[in-house]
Amino acid sequence: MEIRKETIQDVDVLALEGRLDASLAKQLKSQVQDLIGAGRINMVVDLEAVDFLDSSGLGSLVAALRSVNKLNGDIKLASLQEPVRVIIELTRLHRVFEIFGNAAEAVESF
Amino acid sequence: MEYQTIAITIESRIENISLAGMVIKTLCSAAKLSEMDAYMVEVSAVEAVTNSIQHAYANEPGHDVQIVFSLDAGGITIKICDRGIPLDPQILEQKKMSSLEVNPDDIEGIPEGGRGLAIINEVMDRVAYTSDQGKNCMIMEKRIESP
Repeated sequence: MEIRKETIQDVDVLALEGRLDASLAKQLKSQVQDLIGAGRINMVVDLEAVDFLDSSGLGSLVAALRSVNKLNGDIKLASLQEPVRVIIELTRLHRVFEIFGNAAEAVESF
Repeated sequence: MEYQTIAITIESRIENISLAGMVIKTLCSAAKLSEMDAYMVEVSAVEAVTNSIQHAYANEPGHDVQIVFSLDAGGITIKICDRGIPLDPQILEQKKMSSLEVNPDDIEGIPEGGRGLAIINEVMDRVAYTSDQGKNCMIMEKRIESP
């Protein structure tokens, strides 16, 4: 499980790998809070290499969105695998997050 | 009816949730479930394991979480057991009924947590929770559709 960060056009792209469960969720929350502390509020979470998502993972995405939203920032999601997309739709969070086919499209949308 | 059962025990650490999930995923692949149903069983089991670690044991390591996986011709039964603080039956009922609906115009009002039991209830065919002599078990069934 790891999170790679890349900055493209002033947007931070967080590429996650593995299973976004309670363990990786904890890392994601911490990384997002570090970025917000550094004044970074526009992010893309690239889920291309994530093949499992549960409610803890969803909770970390919602927490991140709420934090940046207060500062007029945004978090967009990119490259969802089918099981991940199904869980996001089951929990209606596709109505809350903007979702893109790939990270480049998500970055361009800011 | 013939059945196959396997039981595994993990220590109550969140780092072990992935391990449990991967084992459950492999066991689900032995059942005649669709790929998506197998994934939903995996998610439900991981939700219950997470609940045992984070709520029953309040993230305290050194306790057992038992996962019992049973397969028969009719489907899969997964039982997740702990000896921690039992779920409040009232909260359990409320969560069962809680909606997954969100208001996209009210980001602040979207809860960070509380979706686990709602997901389990949405995707599994039968869900029960028992608490007896200090042992708490979440029992979840997924039936296999006949061809």
